[in-house]
Amino acid sequence: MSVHPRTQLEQDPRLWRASQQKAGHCQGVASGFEALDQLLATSGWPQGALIECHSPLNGIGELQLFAHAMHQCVHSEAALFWVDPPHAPYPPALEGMGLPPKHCFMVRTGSRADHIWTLEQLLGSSAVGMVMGWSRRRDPAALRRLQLALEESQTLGVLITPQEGTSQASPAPMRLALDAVPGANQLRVTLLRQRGGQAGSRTLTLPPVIPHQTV
Amino acid sequence: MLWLYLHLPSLLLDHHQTSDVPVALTTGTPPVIQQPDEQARQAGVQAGQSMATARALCPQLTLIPFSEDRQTELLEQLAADLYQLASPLALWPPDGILIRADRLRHLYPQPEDLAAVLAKHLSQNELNGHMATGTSPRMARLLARHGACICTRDPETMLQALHRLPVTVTDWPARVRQRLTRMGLQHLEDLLACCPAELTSRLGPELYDDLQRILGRSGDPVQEFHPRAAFHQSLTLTRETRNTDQLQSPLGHLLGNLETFLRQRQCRCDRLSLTLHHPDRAPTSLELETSRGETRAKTFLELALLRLAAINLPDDVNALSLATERTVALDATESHDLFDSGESRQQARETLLYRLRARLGRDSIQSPGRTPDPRPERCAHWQPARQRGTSTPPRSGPARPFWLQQPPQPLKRPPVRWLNGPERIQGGWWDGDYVRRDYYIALLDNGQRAWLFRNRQDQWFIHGWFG
Repeated sequence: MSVHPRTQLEQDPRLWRASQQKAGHCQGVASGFEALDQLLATSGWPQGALIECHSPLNGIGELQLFAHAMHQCVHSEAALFWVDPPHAPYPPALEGMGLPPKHCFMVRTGSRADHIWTLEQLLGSSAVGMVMGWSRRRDPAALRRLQLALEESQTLGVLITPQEGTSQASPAPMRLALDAVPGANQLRVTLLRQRGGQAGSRTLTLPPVIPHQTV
Repeated sequence: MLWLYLHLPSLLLDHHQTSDVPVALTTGTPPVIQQPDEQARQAGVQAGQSMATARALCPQLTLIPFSEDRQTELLEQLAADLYQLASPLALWPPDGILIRADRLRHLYPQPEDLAAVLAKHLSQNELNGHMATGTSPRMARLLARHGACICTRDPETMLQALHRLPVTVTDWPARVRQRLTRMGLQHLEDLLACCPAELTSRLGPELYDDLQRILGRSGDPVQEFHPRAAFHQSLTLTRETRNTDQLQSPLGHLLGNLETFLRQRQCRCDRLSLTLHHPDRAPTSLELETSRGETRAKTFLELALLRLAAINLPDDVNALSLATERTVALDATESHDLFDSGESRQQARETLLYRLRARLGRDSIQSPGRTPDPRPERCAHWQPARQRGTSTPPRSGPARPFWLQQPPQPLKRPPVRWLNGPERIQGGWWDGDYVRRDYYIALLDNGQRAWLFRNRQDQWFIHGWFG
């Protein structure tokens, strides 16, 4: 008796099914920049996938990139956590961005182990909407832990790391490199890697800080 | 009236007993064995032996010094547990509990029912006890201490049992007991058969009065026991350790007791103090705090383990004690309905916050706060997120930098492009720190967007960056 060719095909371990793809459950949060959303596979910042962001300097507009996502996070009454930022975020600026103080928390950790533990707790919690973390050192094993914690929840996790190590491998499903465009009020975003989509470079123009009152 | 007396001859020993190691209590200086457990007794250890003899007979014997305070504490714990089953009750230190059985007739129609419930509780807690009923507190106590298992409502049966008691088991002074024996009065019935006037004249009025109290003919006031309003329990570890994994199980036991305590009182605890006692050192004290009060032992255990992981214990731990510092009444309106899938988001956030606080320290989580002051460095600060944040009305005004540079840095190279400005900020004449600055937003040559100001001396500073 001959086996039906289709059954034979179904049992072939080399066969990969599109339904096995893990990224299917990822939802996107609009970034507020249309050009960037078109580039992203989830039409926005992916939830449940760690976003690793290499930034050479502070104050080049790295937060403007996520401002819309932060706004949406607190708008849905979820908490926004800042973990070990380089400086304390300035409360009037938070209010100016429409982020009420009752949903914003800053966590200061002492040691490297505490830092990773805190990020892991926050990323794995359903009570947290978004986490902005700053790591001084890249550690692929720690990033892997964070990604596993994040997969359990639907939190938006952004980890800002120094620029060194852009060439190193990383377990983060999405990696970005940020650069300032000299002399222009612009930010260059290079998408190094993303799950289920293509990588590419986009130059974003940052919104003017005060639109109606320019010198 | 009907009383039931519960005699616990080996309360402290039962508390320390384990299935694998023989245990004995010691007393006095030099210490001698006071009470060995069953395993030690089988090895030949007896009361009155010196420690050296006991150790020679049974090398793995654990010796625990007898402590009256500890025994009383255990008795109170047991009474607090029994309070749920049979109250009113009274403590009779060091080893007895007296229950007013006639007031419990609606719950337990027969004294045997009450005795069965008590026996079940004792066996669940691995305690040994004898019970007896009596028409007076003293009668019940004498019968129970003698080991006469009498649980009945019939006064005749109790009286007969009392009559058969030897005078040597009474709690009268040894001199009196000896004298009675010498007089040929071996049992209580002999004594009761005597003429009261004779007894009073020969042995003094106290003995006669006491006899009347035993028979229930004269009053014997009993102070009723009520459990304490605050929880305080301690636990002695059989083996000293500083390993967190080994502390987990005794700690879980204490917290389980706490959970029972809180559930019985329908309250929750938001501050708890855990003390770890060391053999030769000042104890380590830990405060466990939850933001909205908690009942479950599981949550407290998780917090306690996080705290323990964060500190270094200076020495081995030989005892734990746990006390509630503040309890709050449980809010009935907060109860979950049947189809509630679990914690609400707000609750989940609170739980997360106190878990972080337990490991990182109390002030590690901060939330933004505002002060009405025009000077940028004074108008805002980050404060420990302890209390729930008050929502301030959304502010509209000139743009503010995301990162504030404090103290301001001198500007080294001129900016490549001016984006906005000037904005004058002036104030502080009232406290001696007067500022008058003109603020600009500008693009620096490295691509940073900075918040610059010029002071009254025409010096330029960077006061922040727009992230």
